[in-house]
Amino acid sequence: MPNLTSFNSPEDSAIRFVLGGEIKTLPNIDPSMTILRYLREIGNRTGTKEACGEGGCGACTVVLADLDNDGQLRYRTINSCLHPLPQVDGQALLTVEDLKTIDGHLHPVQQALVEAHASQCGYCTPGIVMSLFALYQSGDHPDREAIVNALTGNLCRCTGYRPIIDAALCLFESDRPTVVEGNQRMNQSPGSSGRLVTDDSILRKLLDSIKRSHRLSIQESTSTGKTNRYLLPVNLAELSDMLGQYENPVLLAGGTDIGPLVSQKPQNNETIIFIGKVKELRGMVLSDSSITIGAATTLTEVYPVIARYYPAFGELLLRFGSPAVRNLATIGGNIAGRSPVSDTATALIALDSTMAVRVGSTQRTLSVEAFQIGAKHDVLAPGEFIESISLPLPKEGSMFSAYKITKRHDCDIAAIAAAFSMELKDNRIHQVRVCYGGMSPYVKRATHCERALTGMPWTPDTIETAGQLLEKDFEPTTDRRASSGYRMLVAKNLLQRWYFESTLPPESLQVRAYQKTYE
Amino acid sequence: MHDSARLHVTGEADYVDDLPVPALTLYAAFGVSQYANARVTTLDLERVRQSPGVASVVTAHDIPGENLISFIQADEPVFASTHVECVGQPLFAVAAQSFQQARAAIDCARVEYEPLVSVLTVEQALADDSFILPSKRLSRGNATHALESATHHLEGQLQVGGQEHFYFESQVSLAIPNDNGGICIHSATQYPSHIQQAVARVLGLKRISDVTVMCRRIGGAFGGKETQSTLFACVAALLAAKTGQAVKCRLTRQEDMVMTGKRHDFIALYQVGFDDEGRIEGYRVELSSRCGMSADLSGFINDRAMLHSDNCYFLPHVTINSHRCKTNTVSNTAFRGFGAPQAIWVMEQIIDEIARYLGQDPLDIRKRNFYEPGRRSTTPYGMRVEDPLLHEIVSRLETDARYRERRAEIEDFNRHSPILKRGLALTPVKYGVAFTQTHLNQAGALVHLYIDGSVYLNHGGTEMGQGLYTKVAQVVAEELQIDMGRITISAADTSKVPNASATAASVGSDLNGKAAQAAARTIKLRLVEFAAKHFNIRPEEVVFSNNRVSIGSQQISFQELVALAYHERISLSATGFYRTPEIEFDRSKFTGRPFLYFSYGAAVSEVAIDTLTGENTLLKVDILHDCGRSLNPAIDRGQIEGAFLQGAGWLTMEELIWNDAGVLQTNTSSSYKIPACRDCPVHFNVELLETTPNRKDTVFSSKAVGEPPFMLAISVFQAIKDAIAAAGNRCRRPQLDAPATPERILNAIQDIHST
Repeated sequence: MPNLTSFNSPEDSAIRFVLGGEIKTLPNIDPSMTILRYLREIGNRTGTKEACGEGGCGACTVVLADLDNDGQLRYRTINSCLHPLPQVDGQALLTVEDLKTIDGHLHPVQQALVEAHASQCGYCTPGIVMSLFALYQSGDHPDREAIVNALTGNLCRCTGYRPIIDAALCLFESDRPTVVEGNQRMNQSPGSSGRLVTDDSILRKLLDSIKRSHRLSIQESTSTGKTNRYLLPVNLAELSDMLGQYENPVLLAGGTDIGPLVSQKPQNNETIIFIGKVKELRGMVLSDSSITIGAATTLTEVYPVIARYYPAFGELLLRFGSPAVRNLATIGGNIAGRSPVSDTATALIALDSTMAVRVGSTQRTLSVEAFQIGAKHDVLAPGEFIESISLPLPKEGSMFSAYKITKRHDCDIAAIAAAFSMELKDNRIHQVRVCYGGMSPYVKRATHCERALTGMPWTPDTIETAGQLLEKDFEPTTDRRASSGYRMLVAKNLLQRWYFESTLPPESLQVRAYQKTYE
Repeated sequence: MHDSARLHVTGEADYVDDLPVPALTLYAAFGVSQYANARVTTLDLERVRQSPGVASVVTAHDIPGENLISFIQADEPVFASTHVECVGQPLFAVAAQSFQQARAAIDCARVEYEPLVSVLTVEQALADDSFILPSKRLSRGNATHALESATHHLEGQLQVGGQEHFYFESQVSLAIPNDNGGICIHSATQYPSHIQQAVARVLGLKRISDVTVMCRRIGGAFGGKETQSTLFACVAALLAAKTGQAVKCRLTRQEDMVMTGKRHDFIALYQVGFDDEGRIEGYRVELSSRCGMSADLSGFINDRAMLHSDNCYFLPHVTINSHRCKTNTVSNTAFRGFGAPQAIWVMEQIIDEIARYLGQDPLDIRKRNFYEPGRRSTTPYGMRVEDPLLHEIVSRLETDARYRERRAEIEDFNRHSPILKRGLALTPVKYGVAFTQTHLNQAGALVHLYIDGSVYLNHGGTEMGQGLYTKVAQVVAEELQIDMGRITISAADTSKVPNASATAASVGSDLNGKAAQAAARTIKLRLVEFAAKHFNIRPEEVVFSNNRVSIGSQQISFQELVALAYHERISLSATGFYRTPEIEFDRSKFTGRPFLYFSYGAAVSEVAIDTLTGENTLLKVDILHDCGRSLNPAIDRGQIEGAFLQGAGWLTMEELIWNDAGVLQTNTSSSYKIPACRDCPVHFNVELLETTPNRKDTVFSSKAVGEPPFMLAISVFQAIKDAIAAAGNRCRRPQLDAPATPERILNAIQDIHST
């Protein structure tokens, strides 16, 4: 058991996390070491696999457990290939090796998969086990839809998924025991489950004992004599200090974008500041007119709130990466990433959202739309960072829709993202905002189109005329996701879909909605 | 249940990258061509050698034996030296102390190129007469005359895309040098003996037997580890031989996608003549495929495409011309179906065209063209279709899946649905089982019995998830009448069973099951003879059943009998061998019996498409598939479902895109999309035609199942086409190439509206 008083120094150079029922204390580790590499090359845990190395397949899925604000244990899947090891600091890292009981009994999730013939080559299986384990730990009784949602990031090339889904259905339909007793429990077995690491009370104790009270600062000297740093501030003051101290630091929030760059191409003389633990940057505040979201709030956390007010935006978030990606990806990080097809930026701009940015003690507010001013350029001054994002709550008579067109429904990057909002008064269009991703080098509003809509009656003719003007707003390019012609045509057709939504039910307009009503 | 299921779910199943490595193991990385076709003018590796952690750097000049990894044509070197022929072709390799150091070192190379004009596509290759192998023709009757005299005539061009294997485990080999100058290689490969031979040749070893190649399990292969693993094993071996240290060579996903071959994309130009009933009278097709920069298996793949151009349909007068295009892209290779999916896809488009031209249901046209036992039963290559299974499967499925009723319901739906359209299709498959290279149809096995009655089983097949090891163990357990738990399943190992063929062509269990059965029978026969003599009764009175042996009126346990036999000095080890009977194929004339039998199946798929965006979804699938008398229905069902969804991916969302410089643009999981969990249809009914034993003498009358169901996914494509047709006024036939991405679907809808 580590002594809490060992945290006396203002800076700490060792990360601490729970693995295999023990506290691991690792001082000054190579900050570019991913969780996956640590597990496979140092931790002797080769059950976790690498298949794509970019968070796109789920073979490397592991579970992080920590205590949420209410002191409840929270289990979250993450892609271990994406994230530097320091990101597990203060949490418990659970891998496929941890699920069996001490005497070799399979976890119910594992047993269900075995019985359903749900593995063929077996390479994706550990990741699938961990995604279902996290779902199991949530205590829910998920239906097929929820099971599929939990598995969207776990690809399998062999089975066609049917037996995997069946295994989960079988598992969750049964009145499952929360604790599986082991037969031959070892002396001083750490918990009633006979599982070293998934026992609640043990985990709590261990997590409590590694709560971080001082910022983490890891320094690693490379062979060329330069220094890489990984800094983990826990509050805004520390973050400001660090930003003032080091030149051109890389800000890592969820790390789903930058993580692979850091881990695959380690640089020399690099300072990475992980802002995911800065408490002022986390959480949401709801007022009468708006939702304000801390920039480092994850998309998983944001989802239920946004989905309540803007179901179409919620749908976009459900299709953003996979659960494991959304568990760490942040809303601020997605804006800061300046993707030309950012789903969240498209929706936020259509909703006329604003953002607060900060340098030192100076804060300013700007619209999300004004943030990006070119393909790879934004308006942040040196040392300035995104603090929060605010989106207005829906007003009476307002209509909002958002769409994402991809080759695959889940876990795919948009060829075209679109979001539209307006207020309809006496069947006339007001306050209209038409925004597209994938149509230009950065997410942009269609100003000609908006002008043609403003004040006009909500009719097919209006939509048709306004749609034609998209050709003045955009000159989309051809790339591996879509051709310019398709992009323009679909951009126009999505306006039509928006119009049809006022006359037809969703199941007459979108194949996935129809599928849910089929038979 | 898969024999490794428990190991899979606990993460305890070891793949090559999980094996403990010897001390001082080095890690390999490749320096590859950045150009599609170029002369290499400078290859300066000085800074690579100086890079931290680097132990060895090898190029074509460092190969002690032959700089060659291909056997069929001598056209694929380990390393290019002066001329590179595709992006991703290896120029050199590095072994360093870590994976990261090896990759960092690669970036230090100074390579200069003098670019040459490259040929990237089938169209360009045809225009330039760029072929990797001579074109071939399969002809029967007089297609020209039949086309001229037919009442109706259609012609057109069709394109079907390639496919990335996307096996989860990327290519990996671990080479460990021996003290005798030989080498031991753990490789994720479907073809250990190919690697064994190639490594011996590259290293210039006098004896193939000095190389041992082992593989316990592969994390997915699908044809992509038949020949494609060879390069990585050879380079690991070369670096291990140079340094005297173990070397691991494992690719990143992106490296794997860039450096390894894929399914061939095809262009087909066809002409078809038919009568008022839609019966085909004459058919001519030019099948041209993108083979890439070397021959690899392209000859046999295109042969199989020719042999499956008929699918289930009798073609009285037919000419099939096959062109094997050489392009400056990675050398395309085996992939589940081995050329048959593309050819069958082409034929199914033609049936669809005929049906829409005549205004009839495509299913009626399909049925009218089926092979009929008796009169219309001979394939273009002269082998007869003897089973009546096609008719049985299709009529049963038509009824069970309510094809006709649903057709009517869908038409009604489509009349009232302005934006969404549904489509329905039933497509059949007939798949020829055997390697068309006749000599590969052989297998060996090795069975040991130990004094406690346990069994050690080895055979030449590799386990890539398909459940082969489970099936073969079942065969041995059944033969010896013992529990599966007594059998130790072991890794494919060139030192245990020599000269094994690739585990491919769906015949893994047909071949290895028979070989293991033969070995088990040999031992069993010895035990019977021994028991008869020992207990002084007739051999017929020795009966094995359920872990026990009846010897006349008394019973002893299997274990007791084995122990007794050991004491009486009876050999308890045997090899088994099998060669497929009856097959003979004249490759020059394209006639004979290339296959022992056919596997059949059919699928009904229903889809919905969005006419505003081309988005689509698979609503329902019903499959009836022939596995003979299934060795393991759960495993066979898994093969059918997995193959189906993989096929659906090929024909819908999986799109390979190269840029004008020949650089693959879809080279990551974020840009190349294979089906995900939600793409599995909610209504997915799979039934095996279980009551029908194989008419040929196969292992327990089972049938091959690995590849045939892949082609059932063509029903998804035809259903999409059906839905597109419903978006138009039925005057124009939808033109849709594969894969049917949302973009192609929307274009096809625009196209039928544009008149």
